[in-house]
Amino acid sequence: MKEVLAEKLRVGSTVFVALCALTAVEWFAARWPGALLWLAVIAAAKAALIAEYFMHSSQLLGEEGS
Amino acid sequence: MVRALAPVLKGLAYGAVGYGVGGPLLAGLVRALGGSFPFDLELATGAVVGTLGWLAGVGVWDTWARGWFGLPLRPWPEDKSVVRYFRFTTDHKVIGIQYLVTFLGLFFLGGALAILMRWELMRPGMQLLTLNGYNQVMSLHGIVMIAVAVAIFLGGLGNYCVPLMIGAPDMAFPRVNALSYWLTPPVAVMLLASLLVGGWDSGWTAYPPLSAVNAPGQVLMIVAVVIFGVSSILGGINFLVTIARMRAPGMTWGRMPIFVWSVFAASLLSFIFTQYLAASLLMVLLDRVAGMSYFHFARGGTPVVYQQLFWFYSHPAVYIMILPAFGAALEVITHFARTPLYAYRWVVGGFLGIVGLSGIVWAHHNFTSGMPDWMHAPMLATTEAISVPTGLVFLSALGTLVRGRLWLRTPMLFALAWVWNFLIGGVTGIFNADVATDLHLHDTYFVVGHFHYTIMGGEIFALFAALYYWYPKITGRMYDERLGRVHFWWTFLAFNATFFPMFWAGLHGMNRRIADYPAALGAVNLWTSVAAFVLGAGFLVFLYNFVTSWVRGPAAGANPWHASTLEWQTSSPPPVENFPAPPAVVGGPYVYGIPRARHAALGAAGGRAG
Amino acid sequence: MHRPEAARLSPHELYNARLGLWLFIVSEAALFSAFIAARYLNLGTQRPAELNQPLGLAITAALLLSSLTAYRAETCIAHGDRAGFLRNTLWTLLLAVVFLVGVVAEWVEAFHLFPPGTRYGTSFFSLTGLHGLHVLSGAVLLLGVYLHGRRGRYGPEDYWPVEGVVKYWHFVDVAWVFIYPTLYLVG
Repeated sequence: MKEVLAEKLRVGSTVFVALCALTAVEWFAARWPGALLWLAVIAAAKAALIAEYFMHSSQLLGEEGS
Repeated sequence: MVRALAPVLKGLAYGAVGYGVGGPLLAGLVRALGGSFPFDLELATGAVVGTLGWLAGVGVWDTWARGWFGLPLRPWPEDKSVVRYFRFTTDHKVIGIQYLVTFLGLFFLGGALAILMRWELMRPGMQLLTLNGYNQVMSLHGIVMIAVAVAIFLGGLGNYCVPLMIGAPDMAFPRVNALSYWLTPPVAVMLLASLLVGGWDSGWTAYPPLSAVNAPGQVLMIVAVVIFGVSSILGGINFLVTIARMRAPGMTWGRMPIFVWSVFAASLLSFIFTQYLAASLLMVLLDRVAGMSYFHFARGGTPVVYQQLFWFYSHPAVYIMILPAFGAALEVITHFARTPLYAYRWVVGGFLGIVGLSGIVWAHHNFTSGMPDWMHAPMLATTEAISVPTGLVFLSALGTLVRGRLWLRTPMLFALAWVWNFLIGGVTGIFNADVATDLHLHDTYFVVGHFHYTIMGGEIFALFAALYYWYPKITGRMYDERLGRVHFWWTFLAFNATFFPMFWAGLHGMNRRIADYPAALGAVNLWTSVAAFVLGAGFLVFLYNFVTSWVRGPAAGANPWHASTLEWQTSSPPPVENFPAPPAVVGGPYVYGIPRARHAALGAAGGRAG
Repeated sequence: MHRPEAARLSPHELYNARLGLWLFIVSEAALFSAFIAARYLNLGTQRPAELNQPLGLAITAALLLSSLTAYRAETCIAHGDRAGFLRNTLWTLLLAVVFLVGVVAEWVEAFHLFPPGTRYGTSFFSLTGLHGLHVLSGAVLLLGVYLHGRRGRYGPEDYWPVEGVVKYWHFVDVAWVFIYPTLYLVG
């Protein structure tokens, strides 16, 4: 139980670091040509990370109640 | 009487207190402290807090919210009598009837407003109303009927029939279901109360810039529609989860009755698109109460953006209205043609195709609004493309009729009339979708005729087909067939007499939403008005029939139509738990004329099929 | 959303509740998308130079971090670590308050720089206001979950209220993920 929890908390921290990194990239992307597109792509990536790792979206695809 | 109405009275009292605290009291306090609190804002906050108070009083607090605070719940005593219809009850059958009765009441109110309009339009010049009064009556007729069209099928018949048809004991979220219903009475109250604060004159579409600057009644309309939207969204989510997750064993997606599919498709639309209506109206509200500049012309707003957002909801909204009507009409047609539904899979594909396309057709409402030119052609193409999935539904109806042996009872007559009316509504729609013709037809009675042929001729006729069809199930009694036929022929003839001439009037320059018109159009308007009065009177036959039959009609039995779907395999009206044991579904829904085919096997206690 | 007196949800009911909440979230996302769309439809990618960028970045960071603590709270209770659940819920609440205070500070400045009557101010105030209301409601729900949790309400087999509130909280963060570039970065 303890190791599982620690492992899951580590996953959360990794995702958080990735989100911070993407946010940093956004700052620069705002000045690239085609900024709107880049920002949309990065925001979608951040949303996907949150939805999958924090909100467990794939629970809905799994077996009932898992 | 007081015992029956106790929760409602409590709700009204709490609602009034909520309005007082959230509106006048708060506003007075802010003003006393030297701040400014526009009357529009006072109305809005009062209406919102009042609605919360109403909900708390009517039962949400006692039977639900107390639990959130760790307090014991205080449910009302169980009651089997008529009293339960005035309660925050979770039985989907009770909620279905609550919806049906409430929205039939609103339907007659909207009809009375239409009669008022036709009285004014009977002759050129002004008869009965002032110019502004006509605008208010027209706006109120519009929004009341839109609310009826959205809620009566999904909320009423959807609630009553869907769990029964899929063999479920109830909806997935029964308390949310009750909440969806009890959110609607404040909507009706606000729409009517708006007349006390100047009404609103911008039509049901509430286009800015007018709606950003007109009388405060507009604020109540906006809050009412947003709350109604919340109710629709919660209802839509409830249907989606119910249909996806509460089906009886063996009830695969491909074995669901077509009405269930249509409710599923309409719920998909309502739970996403309703937010765009809420958003567009909230922006108008922000312009009014917070001095923002979304659409307010003097502050540099762009009113056309409202039209884009508004129709992004409101075109899908007509499919929220019409899809359950398609499903119900096909349901009645297949049962009364005594043959399996023709091209079932194509119809399901058609429903989903309509859902998919409906999100990319909105701007055909804006061909004359000054939107960018490049949007014209794509919107023309997508709009006309939507006639393909709609055509599949239509062809299925025709195919079923051709292959079946028709049993012409009242529900079937209404369903056949639906075929005719919707054909006219659909064909005239093509002229509105075509940019070249729409530029001339826009804002004329041609559009009014088209819209009423689809929604009244399509949806409301299907509604009556469905009401007569499920009446014995809901009440346990049979309606009077003779009166039903009288009602049918009366309504069918008067409906066509009323609305067909509108196409002619529109082509000859009769503008919509106006109280006066050139004398040359007097004859056609006189004809339309007289026909409309006749049409309105016809509903008295329906009302008389349904009320008296409910009281003393002959017992209908479990399955008077010898229909195959699940709702007919339990008693009429069904017990609280719907089925004594969960039914096991073993085949498709329409097993007519197929040797040894069966839809379902009922549990030991449930085999009371007629 | 939370029902202390109710029996534990069956796996079937739990799945239904999750699906219902997801559909609600999708619907809410549509509401935000309408307001974001209105920003671009009304004024394209224009953005005033006076925006307080450090403050915007700070509240963004606070909200991102609160998603991590909310995740940790849910994961802890799912694995029976009640103390960790309570601690992380409290951190989430604190970060929510930081975010809201930051928004209020933004508003005070923005009232002078670009009031609601201007085109940018219209979108700025309505997007941050709409989102702020969601943060506020999420914070109230988190507080409820925290108080129930302190009285020993949830366990590893029975924590749907925590899961539901945390999902809603993450959604509020996702909404900001789109609002932040829309208001602060484009243009």
